[in-house]
Amino acid sequence: MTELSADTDMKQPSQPWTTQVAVSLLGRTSARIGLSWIGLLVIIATFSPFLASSHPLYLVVDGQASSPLLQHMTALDWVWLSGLPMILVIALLPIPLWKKFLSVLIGLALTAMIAYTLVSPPALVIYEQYRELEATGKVETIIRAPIPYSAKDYLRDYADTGIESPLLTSEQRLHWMGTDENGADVASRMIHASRIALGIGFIATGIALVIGTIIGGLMGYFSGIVDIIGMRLVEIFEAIPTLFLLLSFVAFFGRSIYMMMVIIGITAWSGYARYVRAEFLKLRQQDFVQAAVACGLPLRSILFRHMLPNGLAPLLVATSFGVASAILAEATLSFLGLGLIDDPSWGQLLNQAVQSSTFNWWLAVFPGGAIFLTVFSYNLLGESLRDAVDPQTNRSKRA
Amino acid sequence: MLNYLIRRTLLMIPTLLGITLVVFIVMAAAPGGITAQSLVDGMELEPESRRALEEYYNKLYGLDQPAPVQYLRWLNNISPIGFEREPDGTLGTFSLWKGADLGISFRYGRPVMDLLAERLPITLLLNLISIPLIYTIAISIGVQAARQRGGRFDVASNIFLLGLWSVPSMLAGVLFIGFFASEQYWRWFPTGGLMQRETVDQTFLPLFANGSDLLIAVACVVTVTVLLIAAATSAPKIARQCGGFVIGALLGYAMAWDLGGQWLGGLHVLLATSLGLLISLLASMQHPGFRIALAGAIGLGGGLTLSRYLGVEVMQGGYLLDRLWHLVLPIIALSYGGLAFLAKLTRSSLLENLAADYARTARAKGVDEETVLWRHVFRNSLLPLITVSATLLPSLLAGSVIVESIFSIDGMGKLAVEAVQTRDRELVLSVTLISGLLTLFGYLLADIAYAVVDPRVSYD
Amino acid sequence: MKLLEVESLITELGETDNWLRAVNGISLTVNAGETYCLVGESGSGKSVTALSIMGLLPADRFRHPDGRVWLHEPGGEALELLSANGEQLRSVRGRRIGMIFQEPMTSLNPVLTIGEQLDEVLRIHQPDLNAEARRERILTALEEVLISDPANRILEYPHRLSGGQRQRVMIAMALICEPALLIADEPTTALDVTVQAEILKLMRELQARYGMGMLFITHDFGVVAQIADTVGVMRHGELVESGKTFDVLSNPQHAYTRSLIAALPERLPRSPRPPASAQTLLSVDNLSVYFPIRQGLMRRVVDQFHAVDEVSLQVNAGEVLALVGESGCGKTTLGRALLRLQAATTGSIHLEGQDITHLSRAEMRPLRRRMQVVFQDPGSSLNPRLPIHTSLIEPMRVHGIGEDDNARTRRAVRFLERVEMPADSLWRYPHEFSGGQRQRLAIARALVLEPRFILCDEITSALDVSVQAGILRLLRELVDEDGIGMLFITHNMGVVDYLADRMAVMHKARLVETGCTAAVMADPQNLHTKTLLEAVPRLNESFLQTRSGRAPTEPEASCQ
Repeated sequence: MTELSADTDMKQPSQPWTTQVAVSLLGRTSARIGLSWIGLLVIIATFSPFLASSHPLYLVVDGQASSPLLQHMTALDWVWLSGLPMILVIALLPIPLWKKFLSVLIGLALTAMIAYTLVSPPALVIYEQYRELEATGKVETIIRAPIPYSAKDYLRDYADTGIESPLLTSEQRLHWMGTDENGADVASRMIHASRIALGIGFIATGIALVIGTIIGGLMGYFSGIVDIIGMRLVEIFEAIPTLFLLLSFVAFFGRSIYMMMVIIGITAWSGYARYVRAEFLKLRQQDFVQAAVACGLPLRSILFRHMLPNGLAPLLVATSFGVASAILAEATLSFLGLGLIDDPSWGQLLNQAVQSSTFNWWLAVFPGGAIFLTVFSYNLLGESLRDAVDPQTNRSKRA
Repeated sequence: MLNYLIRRTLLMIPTLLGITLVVFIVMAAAPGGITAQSLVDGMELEPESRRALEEYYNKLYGLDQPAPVQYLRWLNNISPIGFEREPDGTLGTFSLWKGADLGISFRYGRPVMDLLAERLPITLLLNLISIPLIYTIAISIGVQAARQRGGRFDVASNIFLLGLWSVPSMLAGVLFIGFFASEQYWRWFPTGGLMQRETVDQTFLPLFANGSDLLIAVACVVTVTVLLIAAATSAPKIARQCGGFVIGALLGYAMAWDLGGQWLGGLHVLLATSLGLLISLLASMQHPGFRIALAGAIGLGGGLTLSRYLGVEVMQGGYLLDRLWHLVLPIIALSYGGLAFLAKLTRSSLLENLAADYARTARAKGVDEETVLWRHVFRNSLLPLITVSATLLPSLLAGSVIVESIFSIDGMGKLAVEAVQTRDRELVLSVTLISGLLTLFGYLLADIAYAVVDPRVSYD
Repeated sequence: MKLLEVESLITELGETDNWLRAVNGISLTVNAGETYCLVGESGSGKSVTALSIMGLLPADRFRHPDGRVWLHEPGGEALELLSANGEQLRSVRGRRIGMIFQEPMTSLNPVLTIGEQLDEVLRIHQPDLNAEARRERILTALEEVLISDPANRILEYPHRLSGGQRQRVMIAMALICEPALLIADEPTTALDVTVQAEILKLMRELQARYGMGMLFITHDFGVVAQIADTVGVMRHGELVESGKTFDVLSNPQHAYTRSLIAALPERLPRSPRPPASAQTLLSVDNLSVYFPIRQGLMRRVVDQFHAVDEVSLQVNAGEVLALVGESGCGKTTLGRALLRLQAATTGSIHLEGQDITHLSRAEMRPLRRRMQVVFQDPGSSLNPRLPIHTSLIEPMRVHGIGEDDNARTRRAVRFLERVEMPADSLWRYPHEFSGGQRQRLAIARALVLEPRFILCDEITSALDVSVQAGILRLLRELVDEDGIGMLFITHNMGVVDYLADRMAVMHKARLVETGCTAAVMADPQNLHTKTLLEAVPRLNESFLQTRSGRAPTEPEASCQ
């Protein structure tokens, strides 16, 4: 258009890039599907003690009312419960994105500290007591969770504990997804395992992201000797068969969920480092970065205000796929028998499907299906992010 | 170019050292570390026997020495140039012809080299068969999707491929074994291993009862296959869909009948309809290549079944067929993930190049679309595929770990898992070394391939 | 004889429910042996017209609600191209109509040799030739476009050729079957001015030799003046004026055409300029920038690449020094070295008397206020993630200008007004502005620190000529009113003519001539300068109208 003077032909009111991406994302069908499943998982994970527990929510025995469920909630349960509304509230506040992240982290840390000092559920848990009480008829009112079994309730009060297929005949023992080899209810275990899946997915990827961004950013900006050393590190961690490293870590360091999060994070950072390095190398040549240097802006500002926000695009996409692969990694480890022992995990349930001589299809289909749906959702999200992030890409570039 | 190769090979060494160092540090830093105690812990022995055993191990493997020394000793052992080792464990003279010695596995008590020599070929067999398979199928699907951009095949295959990529390989493996290889459901495939013991002594090719049987079998297969292929290529779409539905329904019914033995039940209807729809959908695809492949596969199976009904008997399955039969499921489980990823990559790369300037120039010269695709665009689209292939080999190796565990195949992946579980220092380090070497080698091959395909790239 | 006839062509781009009309009812005629030039600014629809004629728009993304394109055959029949089927179109492309494109870098297939790509055309359209005959034909074609050593060239891959050579190969490829019509879509825009002159000369010769008709698309009126017999001016998809070149250029009827011609830098009205002060702002002595070349197994340094070789120059306050040269001559590297964005190998740089060549980063920081830069690409000159407000305020904050952010915001608004942008631009993001607006904002950003010296690195090269006019006028004002010293890197002689008081010419890393603009342009001493100036296609005097009341050959007033 001709512009013999500076005309003020503006388009719609401005939105920062992150808002644009978010809006564009929510308009895509595949992103919506992915986000709905993930949202569902988050809700299930947050409310899992209320969804599946042997402890009744409300129990009246001999005129005395109590809520065993609330009594037995652990500190972690409270952190999850308060975490969700906290994140939602912070997300809606009109403060810059990085402040939101920071406040979420601080908020969670504070809640965790408070919870761990204040909350102390009884150490000894007897799941069978409620069923015994019911059998004796002393119970006046009882409100149970929709799935009245806890994850670790091995149903020892029943004589025959073993693997049962779903939908048994007896009303008292309705197992929607059957039981596992120890007798615990599969549906309950799956619900509680969603926490581990989500938690490992986010935290492990978060760790990998932080390490990768720092190393990649340093490599990309400073080049020279930093770049050479950094590239060797990246190559080493790329060339190590990830699974081997994971196996070694777990086998030698034992199995705790925090250990697994850290380990999965440590093995995954090299991919992010490569992306950040490539973006920084490109950005260094961009005019506005050169102009910032020419203005004499401090290094801190150049890195964090000018370069990093512009390099985020491929990182976002990679993160989504990265969460999927972190969840897969945990499932694989559990499947190979190297995961958590007592805590429920989808991979571990899958493992049990082939252990015995018979093929117990419900142990393969349901947990496997959950893993598949979760990984699929993150992949869908990643694909949609790829399109949303780069509006100039014409459709032909979509894979 | 030679300079480049030498430089890359030399650069591999520090990376390999780094890899083994990381793994060694993990082992040494673990609670219990690498000491003789951790080896004898599980056993029930009296104190003296225990001590004697510990001393024996210490002597043999040098486990009483501090971790850095152990690592250096191991380095010395594996390098072809270094100090020789005396039988009692002390260091001998320096020699240039020592040869690499990977040590002796704690668990198996055998030299690691032997173990690797047994297991490595098997893993390589699985992977090397997978790679060309992945590439051919992925490229065909990708090309077809790019040709009909936005069409039904494109959109459907896109979602399907993304879903396929998301299926965890252990789930696939478990489902395969559970449904297709177990006693409870269809016993089409063996439950594990790579071969049945008897076949070692058998002939390579199948042995028929007599010559005429062989002829009948071949005739059946050829006839059925040719008929189906002819129908697949020339019949109109509606006829193909109906025919496909019928074949699928029959197949589904046979599968259900095989399970339950009843005449009709819910399962029968379910399987019959779903398989019928699936095959009719496949039969209605536009591209004749896919239909021919499908018809060929069905023809092969149908022909063999027909020949069996005609009384043809196979005396011995033969080595080749047995191996193939055992390999089908593991290879499918191993390759479907890479296939999905590559197909999507092919499609996007092709689409990007079809819209490029040089493609427009070619069209301006009067070149037709097919030639633009195959002569101009295809080779340029291969470049990202080659870059990706560098990471394909390591991911296949990792996938082998799971697949071998599920299908009880004695390959390197399974060996690795066992080694780690038993804290077998020599084995873990050697397996890490070999995988690292294979991975780096894969990267180097990919770079060379890149230089071959793209004349703009030259390594000087 | 009529060759190509376009009748009320309408082209819409897009997809279902979302069509954009790019060409809105164009009619033109190209005769054999004549050149029709289609001129317009970016977005006017000229390329889309050419692609519509050839049917090369992206499949499924275009439609023609109306219009007809007739290609006349020698036998008297005519083929209607818009309704032709695939086979007919393919037989026409390359054989009856040849087309060459703008970007020689990407228009040739990088994995096929030149010979193979040329051979392909012959195999399709002249299948009765055998391999030997084809090779002969290819070698002849390459010789015609003045490619040296064709026998070896045909074995090479495109990336080994320079931009000019690639464009010659494209021309050879388009003409090898001796088509009746050649469509050229801005073929010389991406090339150096000297190369452009050669290519234009070549095309004219080939046209004369073969009696071809040519449809030439460009945005440069100088080119139009040189080669066009008939010209059509396009705007927003419509042809606003057309006719014989002489008529249209010397006596434009339509207001748009008039405004376009008036916006050419050499025609811009000039106000009298104050005399430049004698105060030297920036002085450069024997500055050299060398880059090491590494080779071999150990990547040893075997040689040095001379990007800038012993350049000395001076910029005074209140004057504009233009730095011109072909691409690759080192002017950009020199500019970056002046700003200390690139390390100099030897020599010295003095800013207002102070030696800044080897100052550390901390020492440079306060000095950075006094020298600023504006870059070429409007797409990347501003941080896309920051609102304009932050981009302007941050430098002020770092240098301690203004007591608080409110004061700084007020200053920013003042500078926005200076560059003729509205105050509410502060709260918007760069992507909401057009290219020209973004360059103004970039200039504002350079101005907020109130520098004494500004480096402008080809800042208008990516802009339309009318947009460029506004920016150039603004720059001249800044220099005249504020006494800023400016080093303006460009390859456009018209801009030099309008804007610069003095000019310096670089060739292969060396400074070959400096002097007063008018003097150098009227009487260049150095051979390279001469070649450069002669190669520039200008609207020469016979077309000029003294609208501004000033004959263009009048020398500038101030020049020391």
